[in-house]
Amino acid sequence: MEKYTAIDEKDILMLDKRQQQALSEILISSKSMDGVPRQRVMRVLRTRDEEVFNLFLRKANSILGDALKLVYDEQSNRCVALTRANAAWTQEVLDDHQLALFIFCFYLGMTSRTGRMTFDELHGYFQRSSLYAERKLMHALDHLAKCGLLRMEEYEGEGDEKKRSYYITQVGRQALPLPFLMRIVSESQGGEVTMEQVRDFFSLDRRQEDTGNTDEDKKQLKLFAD
Amino acid sequence: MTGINENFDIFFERDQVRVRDALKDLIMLSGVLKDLSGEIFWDDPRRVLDALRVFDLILKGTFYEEEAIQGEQELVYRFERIYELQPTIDIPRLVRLGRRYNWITDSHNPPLKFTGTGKRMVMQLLRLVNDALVYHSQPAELKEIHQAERDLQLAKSYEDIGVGSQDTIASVLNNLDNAVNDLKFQREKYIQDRRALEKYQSVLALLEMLERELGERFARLKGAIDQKYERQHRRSATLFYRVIQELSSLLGENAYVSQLEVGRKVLRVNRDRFLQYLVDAYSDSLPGTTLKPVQTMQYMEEGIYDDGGDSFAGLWMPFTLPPRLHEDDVERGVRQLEDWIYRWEPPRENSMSENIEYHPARAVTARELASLLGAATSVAAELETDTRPIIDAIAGNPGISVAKLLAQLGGGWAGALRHLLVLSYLVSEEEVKLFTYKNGKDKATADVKTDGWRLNYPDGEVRFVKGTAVLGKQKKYDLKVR
Repeated sequence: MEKYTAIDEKDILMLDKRQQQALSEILISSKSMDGVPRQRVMRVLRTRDEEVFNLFLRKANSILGDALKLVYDEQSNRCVALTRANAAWTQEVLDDHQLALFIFCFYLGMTSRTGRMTFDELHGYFQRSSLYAERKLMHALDHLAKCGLLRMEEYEGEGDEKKRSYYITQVGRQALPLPFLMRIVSESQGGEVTMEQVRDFFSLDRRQEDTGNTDEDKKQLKLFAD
Repeated sequence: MTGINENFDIFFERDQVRVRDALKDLIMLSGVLKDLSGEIFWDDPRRVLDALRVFDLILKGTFYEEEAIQGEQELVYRFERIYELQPTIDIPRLVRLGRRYNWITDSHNPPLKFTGTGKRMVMQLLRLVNDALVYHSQPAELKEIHQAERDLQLAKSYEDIGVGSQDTIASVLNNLDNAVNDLKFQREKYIQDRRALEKYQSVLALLEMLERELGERFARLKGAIDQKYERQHRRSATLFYRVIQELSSLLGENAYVSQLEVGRKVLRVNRDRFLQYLVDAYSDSLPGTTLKPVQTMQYMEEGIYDDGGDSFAGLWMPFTLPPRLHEDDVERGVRQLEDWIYRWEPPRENSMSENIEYHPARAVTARELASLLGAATSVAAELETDTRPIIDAIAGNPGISVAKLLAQLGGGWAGALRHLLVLSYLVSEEEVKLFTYKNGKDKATADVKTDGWRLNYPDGEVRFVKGTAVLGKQKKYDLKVR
């Protein structure tokens, strides 16, 4: 335990053996959004302290930089590794419509207070998009949920009807890089917008958005160490 | 003879002599062209070009004293000297043909010259071919607009001095119409090629010229109450509107790109506009040239946006590393691959066509067809159901060789094949079992007299058949039922 609380520069640049092991564990099992439960990672790290776990994620992310991102989703209690998918690969996972829908959900999820979107609410926006809008929308949302970008919850509506609501998962929160969002917003507005505007628009937390950026994180880590 | 104020039009000419002479010219031209093509001067672009070159040389000889040509042979020499080519056509013959139609002066009266008629006709031909050259030299997207321009030019030298009265305006508008359609289909391509701005400028320059010309023309017609012209005027208005519309979408893309370059700042992000954009992207109804999210990502990858190039595009997506391979796995894989490479044979060419015999198609009546189909289906049905004869035969002779069994069951080649299929079915159901004798005994029993077929065992090992416990149970059950 002592080892983690006192961090010097050397520690920031290196993962120790257990941390390496935990990292490879996550890398191997991020398939189809399964990920690794937190408890498992903590067992590999031989700790019971959640702070150590959080520290591990932060440290791994700062070292991996823009190449990889480790994300912990509290809802599903899983650790998942993310990497950059280029346009071609993205298109294999999400088609044009689904990507647009996801950005839409991302905006609603990030800006609403509860982060909750009901199916009816979404359907209201996309009602006129096509003939079988409802079924198509349901299908697209299911696909997003299957990709792990959204989380679906069913709840009892009026009568016996099962209603659906959706939340952005932690993975979904991290999926869209800021420059891409900036381009999308610029495209929709027909002019340039700044990063700051985009952050405000999506009410993104600066610290959360930049988990991968080393400078800021080093500062964070140091604060932590003090 | 031609008064400038007089209007000439072949359709309204009263003087029949003039009409006849004019039409006779055409007839003569067609006669010459027919003979030219009959004499291979006119059936291949290369030869046509040479024929035109000869005509051109004669024209020059007609116009300039110092280039006068004394005879056919001199013409040949001059051709070779000027073009440094062996003529592909028989030049003296061409000259004789010209003389026959009185296009070229008589041989008794050197130098070689065109007559008045010949000069007129040949110059018309050259004009025709040069016009075609201009048309085909235009880039595809500008062809129609250039043709419209050309129509106006021609109108200036013909109609405007009272020769003929074609519907120039209608023709110009027609060409514009085609140009609009073309622009519509090619627009995406231009935008993709990033040449939209050039296209826009070239088309616009032409359009401005056209507009001016058409405007003048319409102004001249002012006062003349003519429904036809009224309609044309309206049509031109809509056409220009459409052209501009198509062009502006070209411009739209460029305008957007140039906006980016200038860095037009958005002061406040419009939420509704943003959401509408996404809804449109979702339902494939984005207006004009707006990029879809995926396209935006592609553009970012290509580095089209100028933002220092450090913004790596792409979504953060979950991924997995494959579990690592054991050394043995790799080795086995390599061995299999090597094995495969070792055994691999290049496919023989035409191996198919050597062996296949084609039987001529046979015409059958409906009844025959029905009986043929019936036979096929009955075979299928039999395959499906009737295993009793073969089971009985196996039960009667346990340990019989397959060939012997098939021979016993009879039915010739077709029967053997059918029974073999049934046998394979039984084996897969584990009702019977195939086995071999390891020490090679009973080879002799394999030789069976068969009618018209022979069974080849894999690796030459004779297979024998015997029933299994499953079959025994089945038989008992069958007996009980009976």
